[in-house]
Amino acid sequence: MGKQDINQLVEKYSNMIIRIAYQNSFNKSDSEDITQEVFIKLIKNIENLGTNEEYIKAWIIRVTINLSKDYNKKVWNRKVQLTNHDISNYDWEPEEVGILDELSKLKPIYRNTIYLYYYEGYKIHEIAQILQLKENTVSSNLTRARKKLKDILEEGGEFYA
Amino acid sequence: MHNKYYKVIDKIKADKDFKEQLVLNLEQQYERMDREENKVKDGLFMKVKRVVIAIITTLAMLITSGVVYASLGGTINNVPVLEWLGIKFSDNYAEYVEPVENQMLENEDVKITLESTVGDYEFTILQFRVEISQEKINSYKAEKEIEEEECEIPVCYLSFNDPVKNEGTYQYTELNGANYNLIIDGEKVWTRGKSAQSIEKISEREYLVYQIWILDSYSLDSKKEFEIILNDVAVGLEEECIAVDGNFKVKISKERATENTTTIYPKNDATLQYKSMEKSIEKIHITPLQNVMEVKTVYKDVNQDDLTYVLDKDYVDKVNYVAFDQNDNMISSYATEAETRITYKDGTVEEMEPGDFEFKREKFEHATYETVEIITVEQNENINQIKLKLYEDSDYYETVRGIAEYQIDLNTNRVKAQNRNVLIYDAKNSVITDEYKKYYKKINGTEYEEVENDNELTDHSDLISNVNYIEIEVLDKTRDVYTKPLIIKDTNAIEELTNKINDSYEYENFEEEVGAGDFRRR
Repeated sequence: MGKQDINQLVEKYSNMIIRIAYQNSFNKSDSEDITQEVFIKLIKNIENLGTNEEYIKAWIIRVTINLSKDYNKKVWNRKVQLTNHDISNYDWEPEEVGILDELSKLKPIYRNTIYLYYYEGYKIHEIAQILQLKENTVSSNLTRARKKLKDILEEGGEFYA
Repeated sequence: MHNKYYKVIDKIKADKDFKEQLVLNLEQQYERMDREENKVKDGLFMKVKRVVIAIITTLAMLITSGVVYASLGGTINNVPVLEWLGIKFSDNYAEYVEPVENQMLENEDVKITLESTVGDYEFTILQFRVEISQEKINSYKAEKEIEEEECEIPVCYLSFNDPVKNEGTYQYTELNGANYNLIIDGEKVWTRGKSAQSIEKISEREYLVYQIWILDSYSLDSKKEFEIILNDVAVGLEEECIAVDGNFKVKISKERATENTTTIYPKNDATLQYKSMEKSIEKIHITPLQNVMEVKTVYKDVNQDDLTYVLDKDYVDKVNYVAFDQNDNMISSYATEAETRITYKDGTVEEMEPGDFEFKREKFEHATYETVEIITVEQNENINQIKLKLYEDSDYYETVRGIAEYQIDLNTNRVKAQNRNVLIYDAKNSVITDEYKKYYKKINGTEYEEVENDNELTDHSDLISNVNYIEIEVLDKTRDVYTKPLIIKDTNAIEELTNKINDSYEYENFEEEVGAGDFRRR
């Protein structure tokens, strides 16, 4: 695998990975650490993943979510007092900080579900496959998340589809 | 048309600098994989694979990670406050403070004085006074365009044994004040998970910084006296890292604390079993400042799935400890791993970094995985019994289960282990007990808040009963076309169609129209 191949993978997937990692850690540096770990796993396994891009993308999403969980699980990543310095990384506006705050109150499974649905545009059965959940569970999670985030997921009173 | 959520998420991107560094790191990693990966301790005392992970490539690390490891905690009655970490020292603290003389480093911007040390059985605490020059304060204010007389100077951390690096106009250290690198009697010691800082603000120019290390007998090879060396001393100040020439060298003695420590060796009834996990309290040290437990955990006859695959029946998810006194009041506690190893079927032993879950072998069976944890629990004269409760916390199943409890009588020194199997939290079935609320507070540091009117529906029979009619478009998956909009008013028909939709049609359209709590009524 040459530099160009690695470059292409990074260009293609780094934003998606860092978005998932950030929504699971709300910390830019942690999400960059996680992103690096995901890519390491990817280049270790790339030859076994085949050429189907959708499959590779789904694999990457799953690994990112799992690594984010592992990262949070480790002793030295105990969540201690965080200040809003963590939120300053992306020059968030005050309203955006509020949205992040609402997101952070959701369980990770809900955050990941709405990300895959609203940002990546996956359908429920696809999300179920990626997250290895039942479709009804994904639907329920989506419903719960929508209720809690009604204002930020709606556009002009209609759900964004 | 994008909603607010989309716009926020869209803002999160990998920086150009980060991507460039990432590509470089991955190339190196790929080359290493080709040569067969070896673990090497480098100048930062870390194993190679962790070096790749820990490399800081963006400047914003300086602003963020520092506060993960340090907190403006201050002191109460001259005892450093670390309750946010779950560490609370007894009132004996002041008696064990040893003053230090002639340990000061300075330059035109900062002055750092090592004032005292405390050597407890488990903890080593260094107290520093950091003074920032008025000129530095003035230039900081001018740069930030702050006009007030007093402003918040963000002393994020004191950093040791981690050289300051420059990136354009920013300075940073690799570990951002985590201070995992320690030099004890000339030997490099890695203290990940065992390092914390607490900061007390005296004025905008003056701060007391308490650097704490958990240096148990495993880290110190049972030494009671040793010398700590702190090189590459720097003060972290938002985007700046002010390096100061020189180093600190100080002798620490745990002799007095050790003499005043009682150790209890619980008998066999301090062992509990949960799935493939066997846990036992091997020792309890009642030190002048803390109650400290050494807990050994063994997973026997395991394969890789038992340890890492969440759907495996023997998989034990994250286990958290919460301590209570004899009146069921929650008390401070902190857990960290001291040792981690796996012994494979063929007898090969792999020593791992505490807390690590990455094994050298991807597949294995009949292995034994062992950890030793150090659990510190608050000590004061009002606590005569400790109830240490263990919980299995599963993100996947969204449950928290009480799995065991140790009861430690500090008067009789008797320890009893009791297995439990109590579901204290189940998100999907709306189980939220009072015990969970205490657990939540311990783990998250905030009170649990109930969500009002949280009456999510888990099946569609509930939806049906509230609907006068529904209008739907259904995607027929077999033909990949949407049917014409249908208006269904008959309740039986709605129910029948709902079941049909669940079974064979694209589900989401149905939900789009109906939604939980969002019904069209006529």
